[in-house]
Amino acid sequence: MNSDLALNLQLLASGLAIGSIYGLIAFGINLIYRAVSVVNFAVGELVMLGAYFGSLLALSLGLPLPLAMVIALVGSVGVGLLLERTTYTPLRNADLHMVVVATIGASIFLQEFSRIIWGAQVRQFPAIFDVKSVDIGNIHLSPQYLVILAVTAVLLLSLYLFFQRTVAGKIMEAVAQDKDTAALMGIKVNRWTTVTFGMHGLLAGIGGLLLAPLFLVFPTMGFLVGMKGFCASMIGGFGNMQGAVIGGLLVGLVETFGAYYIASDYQDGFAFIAVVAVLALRPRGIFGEPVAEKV
Amino acid sequence: MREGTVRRVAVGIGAVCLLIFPMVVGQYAVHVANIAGVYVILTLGMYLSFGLAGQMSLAQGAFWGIGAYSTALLMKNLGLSFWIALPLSAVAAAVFGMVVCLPAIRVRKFYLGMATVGVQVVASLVFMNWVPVTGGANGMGGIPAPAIGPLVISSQHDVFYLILVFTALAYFGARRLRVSRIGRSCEALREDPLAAQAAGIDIVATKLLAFGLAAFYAGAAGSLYAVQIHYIEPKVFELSVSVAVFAMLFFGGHRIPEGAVVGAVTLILIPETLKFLQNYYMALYGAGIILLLVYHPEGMVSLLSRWTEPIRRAISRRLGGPVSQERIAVRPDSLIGGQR
Repeated sequence: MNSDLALNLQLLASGLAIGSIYGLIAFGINLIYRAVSVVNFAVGELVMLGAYFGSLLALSLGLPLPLAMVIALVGSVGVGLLLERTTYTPLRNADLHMVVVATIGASIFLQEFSRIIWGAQVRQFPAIFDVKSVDIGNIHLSPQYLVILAVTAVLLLSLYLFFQRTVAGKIMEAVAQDKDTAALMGIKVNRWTTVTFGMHGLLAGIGGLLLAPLFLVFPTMGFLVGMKGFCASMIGGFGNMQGAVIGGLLVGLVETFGAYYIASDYQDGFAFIAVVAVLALRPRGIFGEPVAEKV
Repeated sequence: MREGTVRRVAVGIGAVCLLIFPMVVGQYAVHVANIAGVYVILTLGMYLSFGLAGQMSLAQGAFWGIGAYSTALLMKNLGLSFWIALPLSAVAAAVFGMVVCLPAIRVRKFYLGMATVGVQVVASLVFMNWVPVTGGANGMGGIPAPAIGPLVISSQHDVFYLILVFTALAYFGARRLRVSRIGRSCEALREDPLAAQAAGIDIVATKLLAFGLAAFYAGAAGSLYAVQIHYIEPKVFELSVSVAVFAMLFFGGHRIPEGAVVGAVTLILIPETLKFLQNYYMALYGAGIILLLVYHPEGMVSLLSRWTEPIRRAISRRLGGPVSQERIAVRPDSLIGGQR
């Protein structure tokens, strides 16, 4: 196989892998936005905490990796719920801007908290497979990319089935569409809001565990990842579920190919430039839900 | 004696204290005060865009950097005087702010904050990587000191007065803007864009103006920073500054210019005066923001004025003047139960 093609396929695989994590995070962001009409600036810190929990449990406590991951995800759900209790619940009757600002406060707090508790140094994360790379012809892929792609594919499929086929999914959809009517139908809206925050924490935590072997673990690892999740959500179309996934993959690809072919120094900037480009062409994002106001 | 006179006397005492401050403290304290002054201007800029016009912006650090780099380039490479470089830098930052935020303005409310994070991240990358112009990670040194005729403003003590003058200008400018036609349009935009539009306010122009003003302030702050430190590097103008400035504004009170002043000064002074908190202060601020929002969304200034209310009343009564009502009015209706 010609080496240019192999290289491009490698870039494609890593772009899709990173992108599917952004998609996962964007999915969680949209979940919250649809349920309670706010955006959570601390989503990146949920990602970071998921990674920390996994790293601490597996490496510092020496738990077997699968058990460590399960406990880490329980912890991530817990942090999601804590975030609801501290930033959303007390402020839900105030101007919703206040909730968003409170999540910025939470983002600062969680970053600094983890720096104080665990130090600023970069931590390792155990590799899931011992193999260095998977070779197909002369394409060398990191096994972690394949893990990421497989996990997110399964996860997104189950989320799709959850929202389409289960009563719980339908209830969450009803709450997202119209809280008052849902409440009149006997749905306990506040309880389901809590479920949404838990799911938000879970998705971010999974993102963190998947990213950790690639990015390593440190207090500020999540912030930009969270922001790129927002980029994905804006590109795909605000609050649109398929849009989140497509947007995430697009951000991942733009970033990976841009870093290789245009300028690696500007890798972290491409996602934001992509947002500006997409919004200039399609102010509502790719899937057409109103992301922008007409000006 | 009337309350107004008491206020005037208090302001006068405060002004005299500020004027003699650099003469009675050491070099380092003056340096910290100068940094605080620069941050006050930055935070006042954030007040104009977010506090007044409700446009969430997290790119203040980028505009600050544009101002600082512009001044460095204009003074070093073109040999311009500081008095020309400062307005040019502020205008450059304002134009940049308006141009880059043009696409961001289309985005709905909370997502605007995200889009401005993008502006900040890209600007930081440019400062770091555009080596021929910005010097890259090495930064730019040897920025000349400003001069008034033969008088060179070089020591931290001299710069203190320079920054004090501009900080005062920025503060009174923001106060004046708040009650001007522009300020009223901004407030209308914040409270209800649709109603504002219906009332004949050009909301696009107002949004752009709000961003432009915030960037103008930040640009001027950058210019002052450049001649205070004489050396600038990209890591100063990071996203963390934008977030910190946002925190300062909320800490002091985001709906009043006084909040920007108090927030910026306290957030700069606390880590300096409470060294043992050094490690914890940002975490405490993060938690503090949430607590303030939940228990007292108007910020520290209004909390302080509530706490000092009995004292002020007592002074007023002792002096035999009429007892005034709360001076700093924050409309609670705009904070609670607002737009849903």
